[in-house]
Amino acid sequence: MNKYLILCIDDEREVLESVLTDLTMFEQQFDIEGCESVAEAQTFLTQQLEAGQALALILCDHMMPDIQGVDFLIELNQQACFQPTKKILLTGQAGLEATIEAVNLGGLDCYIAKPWQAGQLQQHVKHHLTQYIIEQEADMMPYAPVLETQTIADAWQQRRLEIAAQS
Amino acid sequence: MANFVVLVVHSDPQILQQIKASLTPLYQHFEICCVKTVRHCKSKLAQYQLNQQAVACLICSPSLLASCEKLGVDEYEGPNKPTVRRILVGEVEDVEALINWLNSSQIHQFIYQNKVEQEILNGVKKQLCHFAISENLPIAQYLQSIEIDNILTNQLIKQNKKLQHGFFDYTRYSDEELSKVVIDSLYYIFEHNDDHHVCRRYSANHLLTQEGNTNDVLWFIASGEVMLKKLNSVGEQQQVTVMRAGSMVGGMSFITGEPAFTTGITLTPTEVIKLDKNKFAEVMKSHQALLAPFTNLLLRNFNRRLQSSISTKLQLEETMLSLDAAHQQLLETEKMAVLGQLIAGVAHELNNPVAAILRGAETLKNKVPHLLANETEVAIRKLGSATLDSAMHLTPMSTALIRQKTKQAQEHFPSQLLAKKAVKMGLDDNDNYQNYCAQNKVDSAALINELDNYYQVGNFLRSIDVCAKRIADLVKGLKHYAGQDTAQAQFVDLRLGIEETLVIFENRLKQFEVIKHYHDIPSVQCHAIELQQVWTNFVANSIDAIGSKGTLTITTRTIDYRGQAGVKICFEDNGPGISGDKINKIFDLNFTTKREGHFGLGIGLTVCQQIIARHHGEINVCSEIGEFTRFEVLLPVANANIKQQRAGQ
Repeated sequence: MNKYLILCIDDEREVLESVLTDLTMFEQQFDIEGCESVAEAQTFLTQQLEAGQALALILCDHMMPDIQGVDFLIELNQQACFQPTKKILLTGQAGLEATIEAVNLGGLDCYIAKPWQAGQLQQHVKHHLTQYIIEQEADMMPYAPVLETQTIADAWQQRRLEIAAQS
Repeated sequence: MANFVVLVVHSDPQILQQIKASLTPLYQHFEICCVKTVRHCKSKLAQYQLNQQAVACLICSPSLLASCEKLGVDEYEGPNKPTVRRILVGEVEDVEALINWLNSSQIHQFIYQNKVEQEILNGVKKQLCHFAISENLPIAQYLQSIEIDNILTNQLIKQNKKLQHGFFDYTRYSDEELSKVVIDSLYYIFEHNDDHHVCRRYSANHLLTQEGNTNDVLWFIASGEVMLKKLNSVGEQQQVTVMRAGSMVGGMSFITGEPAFTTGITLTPTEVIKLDKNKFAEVMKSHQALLAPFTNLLLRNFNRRLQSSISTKLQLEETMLSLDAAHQQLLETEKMAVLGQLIAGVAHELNNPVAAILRGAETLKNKVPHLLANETEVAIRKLGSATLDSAMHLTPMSTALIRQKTKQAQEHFPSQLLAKKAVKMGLDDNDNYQNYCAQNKVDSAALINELDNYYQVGNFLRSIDVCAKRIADLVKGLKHYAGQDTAQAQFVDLRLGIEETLVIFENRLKQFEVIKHYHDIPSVQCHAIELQQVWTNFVANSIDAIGSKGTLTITTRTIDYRGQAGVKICFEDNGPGISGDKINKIFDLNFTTKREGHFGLGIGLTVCQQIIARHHGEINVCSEIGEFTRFEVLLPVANANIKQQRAGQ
């Protein structure tokens, strides 16, 4: 089990598979899991939290039968443990109002419209994972090869300077 | 420049001055020319001839009369040769002298020199009146400058040449002139003889006629304004017109004896002549000459009303036409809006399958060349093709199950990731795989990753297939909207149309529980596409009203419809409902509760109603606030004569 988790939620299995496939490049450093509903995700997240795994990034569809993606992101954002989590909405149909709500209340980091392109999706995910790792992880260098290497290297350098200055 | 001249020739400057001063009221209509000598008179006449002005009245002293005659005062070269009215101002010593004057020339009036100040104005006015009558001048225009005396009242009308053309020939009078003749005549008649208080002055808000009541009085308005009002269909007083000076009020009911058609009420202080039936008869008897102009006035009055109602009718027809055009335009707009909504809905519906197909195709592009490279061992390829085949045909297990199985199998595999891949491919309890691994002592990780390529290809082929089928279904649903409706109504199972509508809204209905109570119903003779528009409207309304989670219940059942076989289709949602004051208006054109920016022009349900009406059906709505809204459509099964849609609809 990796330290960090990437979770994708989409009620349409075919779409979910596509997203998961596009994220394969991160699978060595992150656990990548898919859920077909928000309810399943909630159960799963609770388990992983207990097991000590942190949710680094969530990629969520908006239009789903039980709870809408935006509402779930807002719900997550209200829990301290999920606040650092990078939140990406992957959708074809969140209206303006829902999106604004997601940004303001859900701490939404990114909005990707369907249909998406693999490169574009990977770039967004990579960028936000990099930010997450820099913010959350002391030992960030192992993540540098799969994420934005230069950014992480710079951040690590900066961190060392700060530590040196303190001591 | 006045057309007519009052020429005064007198040697006494003092008298000349008095006459000039007395005649000032006439300046409005006549040129007043005062000269002392015949020589002056001559040059003036030459000038008048040049200007085509004619002398209407000559005032002179007896001694100058003969000289003036010689000058040819009469010889005006206009279209009609006027008879100049002659007034002598002087003194008469004896009768013989007067007779002499009379015989030597035509004299119309004699005024004593010493009474000239008092009498000259009236004298001139009277003569001018004769002149006006004989010359066919529009009397009304000159009324201030001419004097109509009691003898003249009848003479005025009788002598009028226009009258001689025939009883009804008032064509040369304007409405104003004609009414002025009548009203002024009436005023004159009652000026010294108004025992019955016929001439009245009303303050504002005085009621003359009351709609629906009998009326036996005729009012002539001399000045002021009277408003005519009539009750409209909803019982409100509506202004019809405002009558001003010269108009008659009460004429219609006065003549016909019917109840008053309108209510007449004064808007301003108003001068009227009020004639009841007796008084009216009396006047017409004593002043028979008035009968003709009065009758003409009355006819004209009615004619004007008739004309105005005809032109109103024409205007209304024109307005109706433009309203109709506007209505058509609205329907077009609504159609475009429905189309826009459909397109947006379809775009949403297409998003997911298209995304999956695009992503799948790209994965295949990457994986397939590798699989075809023939670099792998035959045994692995055999295993791989079995994996591909099962991935292509089997529905993948749920993500939750994958996780559960991964957990169980984890100890047998080098990593959780590999375990998961193996679980997905079904290798965790696959005997072939276990045997292969045992026999060949292969690196489990490399093998799983290799097989995963086969698995992914199979899985994405399946996925593309599933998504393409979904798109095909969607297109099938759309075909109805795009297709041309047949002219003849067809027998159609309405449930198919409802299902197709639901496909269009599938994505937007994700948060809805759609409950279908489809009882067996016979095929219904109808225009299926039109009805589908109705269902689309219902579903769209429910989605818009509820916004998030809700229930939509659709029921079909057979009913007895007006004594024959029929069907009833119900769409019921558990939305916020429609309040009582709004529910009566929802079929009205332009009624909408949707906020700006949202779809909805407020003509959707109007169109629905028209469609159902064309199908000889019924559309009903009932609702309870906070509980539900239910639309019911009742249709006959056999419906051979459905009106064709109007062109452009």
